[in-house]
Amino acid sequence: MSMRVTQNAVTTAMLAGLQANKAELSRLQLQLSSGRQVTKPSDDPVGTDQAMQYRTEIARANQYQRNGNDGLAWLGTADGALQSGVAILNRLRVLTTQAANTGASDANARTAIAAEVDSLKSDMLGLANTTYLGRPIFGGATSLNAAYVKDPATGLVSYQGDTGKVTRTVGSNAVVQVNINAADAFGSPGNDIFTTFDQILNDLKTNPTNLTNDLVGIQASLDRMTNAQSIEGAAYNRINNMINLAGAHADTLTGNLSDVENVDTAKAATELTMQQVSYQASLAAMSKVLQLSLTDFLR
Amino acid sequence: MGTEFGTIGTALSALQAERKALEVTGQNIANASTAGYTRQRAVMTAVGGSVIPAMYSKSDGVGAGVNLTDVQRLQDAFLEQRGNTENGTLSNLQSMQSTLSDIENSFGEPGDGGLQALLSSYWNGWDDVANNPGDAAARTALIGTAQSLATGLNVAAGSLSSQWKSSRESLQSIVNNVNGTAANIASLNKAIVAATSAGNHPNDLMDQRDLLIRQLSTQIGATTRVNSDGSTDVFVGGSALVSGSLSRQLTIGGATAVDQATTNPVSLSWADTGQVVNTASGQVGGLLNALNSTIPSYASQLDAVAAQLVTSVNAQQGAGYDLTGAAGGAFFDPAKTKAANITVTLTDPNGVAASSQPPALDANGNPVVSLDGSNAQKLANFSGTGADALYRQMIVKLGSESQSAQQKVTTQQSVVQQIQQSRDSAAGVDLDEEQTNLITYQQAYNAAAKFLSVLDSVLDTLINRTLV
Repeated sequence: MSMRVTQNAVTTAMLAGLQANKAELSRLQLQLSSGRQVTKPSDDPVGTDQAMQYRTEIARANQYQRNGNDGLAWLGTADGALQSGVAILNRLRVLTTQAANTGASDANARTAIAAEVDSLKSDMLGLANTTYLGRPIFGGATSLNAAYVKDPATGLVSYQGDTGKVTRTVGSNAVVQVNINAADAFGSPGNDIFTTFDQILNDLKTNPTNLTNDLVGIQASLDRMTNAQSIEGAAYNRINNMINLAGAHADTLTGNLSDVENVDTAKAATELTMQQVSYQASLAAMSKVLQLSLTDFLR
Repeated sequence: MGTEFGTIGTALSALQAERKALEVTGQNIANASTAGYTRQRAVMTAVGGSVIPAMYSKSDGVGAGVNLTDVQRLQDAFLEQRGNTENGTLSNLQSMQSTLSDIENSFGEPGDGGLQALLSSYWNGWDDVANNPGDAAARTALIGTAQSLATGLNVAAGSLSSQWKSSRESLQSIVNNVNGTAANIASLNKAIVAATSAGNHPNDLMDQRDLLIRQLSTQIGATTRVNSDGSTDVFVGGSALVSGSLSRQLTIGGATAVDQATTNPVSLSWADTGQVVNTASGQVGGLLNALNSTIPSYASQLDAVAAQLVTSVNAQQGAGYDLTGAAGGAFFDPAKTKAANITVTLTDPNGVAASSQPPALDANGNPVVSLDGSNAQKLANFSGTGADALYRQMIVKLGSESQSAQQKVTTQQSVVQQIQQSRDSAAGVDLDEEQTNLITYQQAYNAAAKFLSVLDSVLDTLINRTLV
């Protein structure tokens, strides 16, 4: 039996076609106006999985850069302190050499030198207590506001910080220590830079002949401090690299995310034009076919 | 041979039959676009002479005109049944698909406003605390992001729960509707049986009834059986909903909130016997599935995310030391591990356990708190794992389920459309055909009238001009 074609069947079929056309048209228009091709998980479940992972990773990469920049500021503060420390030690060496050579016979000159050495010691104490955002940078993880404290009675300086590490996470599994241990920069407590200062001050007053030996201690402190500078410089470079890496990673991921989520505008616009043509064609066909009826030809 | 006056009867029967046929055509044209209308056809039968010879009455074989014996409804019963079944399946799939798509909308993923973004900023807050463990601002900000995250989970759970409630309300209203429709079908059945036994053709009542049955099949996936007396029985889940002129009522019971759905599922049962109706079709089937399976499943997956968050954060927080030197206390309320009630219990910024180091003792034996940030860093490193991963898996599962539901709907739509087209082909009115019929019946009527006028002139000749 051949299929009977009725008005209703034609209308239903044509309406279904028109609606499919219109749905596709509206989908493309929505894509173009929102700029996104994945607006809900069912648009692309695999893409959604990727997009969600990318978003998490991008948030991490941005945070790694924040962490890194904070670490750089910390290290920059340490760098300034260590440079000044080297300058102080150089001046101390000049003064000690001077005292050892000429001051042995001149008590007045030694007293003047001792006064300057004492003020250098205070400067060094100030440096050792340098803070970043209120935290003493050479105090380890201590919550006290100074790494070294001077006994007002004896004038002896002692370490009150701890050996805790201050680290910054600048990548997955990339943890960089940003603080310089007090022992690395100033020597281990009991035999540190302040002991050297006290020894020199003592020798200037009572035992000038020993000043030549003190130069050895000064050199050791200088070596330690320049070494600390290189540790600090290495950490600085490492963090810098990691920040660049995290930045590049975030850029790549943002690109990937855009590939997954965003509309290829040229493609969508072309599809939209094609869809409009086909929608117009079906509208035209519908108006032509539905007009035809036997009524037109009967008198 | 029949008598002259008898032949006038033949002409009259032709005029009557053709006029009735014109009426049927007119009815078809008038209902060309009426929903559920089945086209009708006038069935005419030639009236033969008496074939059984009797002594004084015998037929000459020509016959005595025409009789309109039936006005047929041109319906394909098989197509009707098939259409009802497929419509039930379609509405079932559509209902499941719209449930999933509503759930998708309530999560707003992938995007910058969803729970994932809140999780990311919470973990980043831990990074900031790790960088500056002594900074009260970083700690306060962390508690703020935690509160946003907890609120985000509460809101997501709330929207699932209100979706569940509104689904249950629409189930209730559909079941009420089904009960009303069943009663209507029963009373139509009664009228149809009465009309048929009186020899009428209650075609329009049948159309009305079939339209209601189609509605029932969409709502609850009803199947039918046509009885010889013209009535139709309607079955749901194997039991009769409408049997002749009697109808039964359905009722729903069970859970009234999403968290009861697993222990006390929403059920559909017969009001009279209390027996549970097993139907997986129609909107009712789809809604029952949403109420007892889909929504509770996503609610419990969301709860798992919340529980993972609470236990993992609290455990790591407990492993560290806060700014007062004490071991870290609970960050999230450990007694509230559901997405609906997860709460940040930590209010004092100093209570954030950033340090892995217990306080040291100073020279005087007083404790000195450590500004170590490594415990906070461990928490920050939870990003992308644990709760994040659970949540992502849930969204991806939701996406694939919803996508597959959409595909099923699309496929089923084309099946239903084909059947609808076949049904329209078989039972729909074709105006060209009706106009052709119109001309046929009109010409036949004209011819019958002409026949009558010829008979008239024959009788005129016989009566008025003969033997004058």
